[in-house]
Amino acid sequence: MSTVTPDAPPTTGLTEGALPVEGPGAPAAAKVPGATSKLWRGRRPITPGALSGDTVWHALIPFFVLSFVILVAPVFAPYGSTDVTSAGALHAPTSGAWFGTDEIGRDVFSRVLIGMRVSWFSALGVIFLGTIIGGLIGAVAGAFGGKLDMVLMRITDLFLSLPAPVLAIAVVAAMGPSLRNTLIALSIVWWPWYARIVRGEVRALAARPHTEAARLAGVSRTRLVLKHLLPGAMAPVIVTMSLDVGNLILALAGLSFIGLGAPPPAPELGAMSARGLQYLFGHPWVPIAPAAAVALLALAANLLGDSINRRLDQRTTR
Amino acid sequence: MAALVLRRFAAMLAVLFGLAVIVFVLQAVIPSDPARAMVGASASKEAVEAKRHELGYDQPLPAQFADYMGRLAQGDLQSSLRTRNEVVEDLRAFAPATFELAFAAMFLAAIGGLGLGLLLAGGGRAGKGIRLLLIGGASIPAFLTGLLLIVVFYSWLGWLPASGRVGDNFVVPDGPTNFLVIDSILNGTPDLTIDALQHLLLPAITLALLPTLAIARTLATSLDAVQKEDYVRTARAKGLKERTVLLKHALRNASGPALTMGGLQVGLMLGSIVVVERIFAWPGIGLYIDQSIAYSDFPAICGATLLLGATYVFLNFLVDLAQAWADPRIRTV
Amino acid sequence: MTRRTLTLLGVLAVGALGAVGCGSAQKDASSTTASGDTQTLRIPYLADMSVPDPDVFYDIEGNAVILNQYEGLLKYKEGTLELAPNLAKSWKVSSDGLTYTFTLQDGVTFHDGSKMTCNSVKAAFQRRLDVDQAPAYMLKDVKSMTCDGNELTITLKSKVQPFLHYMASSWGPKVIGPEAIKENAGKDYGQTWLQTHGDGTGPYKLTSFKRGSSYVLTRNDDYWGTPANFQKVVISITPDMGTQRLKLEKGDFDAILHGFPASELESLPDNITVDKQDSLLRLILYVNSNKAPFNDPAVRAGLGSTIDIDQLVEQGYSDTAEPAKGVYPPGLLPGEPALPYKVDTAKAKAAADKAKTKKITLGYSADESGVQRRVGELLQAQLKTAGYDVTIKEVQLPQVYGYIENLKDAPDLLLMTNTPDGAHPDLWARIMFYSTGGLNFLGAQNKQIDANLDEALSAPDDKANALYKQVAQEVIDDNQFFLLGDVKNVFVMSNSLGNVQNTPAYPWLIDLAAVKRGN
Repeated sequence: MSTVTPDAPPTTGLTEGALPVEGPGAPAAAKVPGATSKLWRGRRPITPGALSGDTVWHALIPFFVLSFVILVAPVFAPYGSTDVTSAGALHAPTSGAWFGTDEIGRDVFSRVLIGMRVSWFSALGVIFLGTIIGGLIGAVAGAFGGKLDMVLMRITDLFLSLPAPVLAIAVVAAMGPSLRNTLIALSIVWWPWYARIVRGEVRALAARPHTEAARLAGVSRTRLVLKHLLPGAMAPVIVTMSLDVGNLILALAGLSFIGLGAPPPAPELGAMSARGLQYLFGHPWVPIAPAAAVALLALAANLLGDSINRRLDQRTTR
Repeated sequence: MAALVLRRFAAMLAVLFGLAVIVFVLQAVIPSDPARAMVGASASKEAVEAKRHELGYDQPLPAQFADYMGRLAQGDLQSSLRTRNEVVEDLRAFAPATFELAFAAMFLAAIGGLGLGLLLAGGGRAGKGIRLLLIGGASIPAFLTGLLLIVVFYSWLGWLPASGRVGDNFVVPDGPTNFLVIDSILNGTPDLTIDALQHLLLPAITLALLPTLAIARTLATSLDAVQKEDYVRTARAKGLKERTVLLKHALRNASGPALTMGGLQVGLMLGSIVVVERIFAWPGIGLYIDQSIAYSDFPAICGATLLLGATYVFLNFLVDLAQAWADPRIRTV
Repeated sequence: MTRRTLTLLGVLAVGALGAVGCGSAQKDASSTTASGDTQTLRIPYLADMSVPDPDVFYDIEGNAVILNQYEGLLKYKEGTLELAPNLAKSWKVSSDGLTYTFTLQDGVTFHDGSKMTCNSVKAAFQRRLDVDQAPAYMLKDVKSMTCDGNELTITLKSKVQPFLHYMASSWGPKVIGPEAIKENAGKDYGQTWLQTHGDGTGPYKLTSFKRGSSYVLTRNDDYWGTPANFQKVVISITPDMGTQRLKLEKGDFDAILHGFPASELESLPDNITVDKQDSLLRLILYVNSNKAPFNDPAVRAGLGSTIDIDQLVEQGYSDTAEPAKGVYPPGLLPGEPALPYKVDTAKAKAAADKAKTKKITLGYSADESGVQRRVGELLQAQLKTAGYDVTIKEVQLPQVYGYIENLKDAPDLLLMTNTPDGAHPDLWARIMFYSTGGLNFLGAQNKQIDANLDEALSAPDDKANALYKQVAQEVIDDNQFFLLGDVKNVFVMSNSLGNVQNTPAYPWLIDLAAVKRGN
């Protein structure tokens, strides 16, 4: 065994996210230290600003390609999500209906394609919402410091100290199950991770000489945050985001499996497999196709997230 | 150390208070009417009003909050709409099954995570292959895992039971721990121990899968990092066996992040416990939540959320202390 | 993405599909023999029952625990809607319908060994009034109860047409051991104790009640009637239908008494029998007449030409339900007017064009087998052909109870499955169609219906039946309710069970005392 395995990522905080962590609230690197941030103070996860914007965007290309494919795929779906086909209910897969039909005669293949789009973009939606809310809070806390920082971070810590999935269940149960409420609930439990990452990045950047110089040159604080600090926090945030997609797809599927997702007839993958479970033995394609689609989506997201993470990470340390 | 324990303890109390506030806010926004649900369909308007008054739902929010915190302090979580029982009593009945399952899953995850982590840290082709397997494994939704296990181990092979906590031909002892496996050992009923273990295995594996992978991954990365540290190089240079270096020097120092990850994973595990308990008909808090959701039984959901949240907070408090104890650097911070 | 990762994706997907696919193919393999002893009957419940207290319990799931433990004065004769003796061996009704005299069975003992007397019945009925939960309404009109030996005389304040049916109802007054209640009364008439215990006169005693896992009923060897065949009945909470089915096929369960998906019945192996029996369960569509568009009677009337009931029932239920023929459950009111609905697309469109808004919501209550969701989705498609844009949503019972408080925010259409408390027209019409009826969730108001039902309550039988028929005609003309289907009990059972009996008025239940292993 060699002392350093070429393949294994070296240890910056980030590489702790070399493989995705499952479930809500534990994506990249920053999360592990983030959860017990008090213990990790001073051990900063990433060298800020080491990544140029271009590198980040290049690393993200496969992600955009996949998102585009998922976005347009339903165009090729032979039926709409609620169209009843002429094949009748619970028809076995044929060349016309690749995954058969469901209990009221809708084309499972079409519904799965559309459902994949719903899941994928719902996951992205939660992540963007979480990033925006968390990013804003983190940026404000990091840039202004002082009492405001303390209050905001205390709230963030509170959420980080609670089991996110359990909270999400309680929130959806309280608001009533619908796709919108599920997305809101997940965003509510998701943003704190981003707040912490962004705040950390912003604080570190704020302490650097060039920021100091800009401030002395009379650049306003808002401008400083928007122009200098936030862009610098991009890379770790994007890595975290990319690693989160798979987790969110699984989290969404889990919530809708227990009846806390989009109500029917929405083609929501978790709900489709939960409701299809009763047909498992007579008509296995009904629950299996959407369940496999969840696994496939999560797998694709995780592989991509992993590759993005490793690419960005290797650049930083090379 | 004592000061640190005190500080952490105070922080934990603050978090618990925050949890109580969050749950209260949720309780205040529910759209359905618990009072009517309690008195039933054919009750008169007056009966509904009376019930609402009795439950305090007709008071202003601050008064409701004071009332709620007061009741919480006395361990009163109201009555379940479905079981008509004190939620506290219900939780007391359902919690042991969940804790037993969660402990079993954590045990499996710790062992599995350690083993896989060591393999993965080895690098090379084996490490790479395992890496991909981990990504694959981490992408399977828990309901699919559970289902596959039932189909294979119950339906095909007939080795393990599909649902429940114990076969119905056994007399279940009352206590002392309410962990069936432990109680049956204490009572000297090996048949029951074996039966309970058999029932425990499939749900525990389903629940442990994702944490195992996460712990393995974290352990592997920190192992690789530690391997580059001077003292490990020194140990190696001294000509110590590779295995000794890994297990004696590297592993101990690399276990911190894995421990943290383990603590975090408990939170995620508590989330998937609803799915797993539902599939395996495991009579725990998850099943209680699942049934309560179907009945819009919000007092029950709130109670279960409080219990699971508090458990998680407390476990992470312990993890924090364990780390502080293991790593003196933390103590000085 | 590298080629290797793509390959891996493929392998994983194929593996996952293959594994489960094969699992399902395995269904025909010879099943292993029952793992349990032959003296135990094992059945699953999809969810916990509320409480095994007959004066509180007002759901369906759980009636196996109630009805095998406790008995009322009367019951329904097996397979029919006829009243039959139970704890009362005979009964008399005074000509003014105000006084009922029940002669009680002799030699009945409670599970705790004490003797049942007339006073025990009186005490039990009084407890129902004291506890005052949903089922208490059945005794609200009682003026007095007197005992004379083993004769119980009940005098009513005013005539109550269906009073005898209350006595036979699944949720009717049951006789609970007064000693046990007194000993465990606490502050709530023994409600806390009865949450996990029981003391009745029935063929089984409740010997274990473990919420979330299982309930055990053990044979009452001192039963006054024919003792049960099985020594024990174990009811296991098994929320997943797939698991229930696997365990049934393996012999770990003997019968699944409800919730089995109709479409899967055909794929069952040979060692399983399916028994479809009539019940009083009905699928109903409520129409919200308190807001646009269905506050307009002409628009409501168009629904009758829009909804294809035959298609809904056939595709939703396969052959486990039949299209509704009348306003009342079959057999309750011979000669009632037939439902006139007929699909007519032109009429449907014309009526829908008068609608103020075509954006409507359809709620359906959540049920375990998902059949109402299926019907809801079919209904959505049918309403679309008339031009409606329908949003459907799943609703839960407590929400549904709350609609009456704010009907403007309630859905425009609501799909539910209900059952009357007993086999009498009043027991159906009063909760469903009366303006303050407990199941009149969308606040349908019709003064004529209220007046007719009130009049029928104290009218002689002939007159009452005529009034019930008028009520049916008003329900039809008013279009605030559409009766869609008569849902069957579907019992999926191991072939090893014999002597399976059931009663339409007791849904989801077979007679657990009569059933036995072997024919």
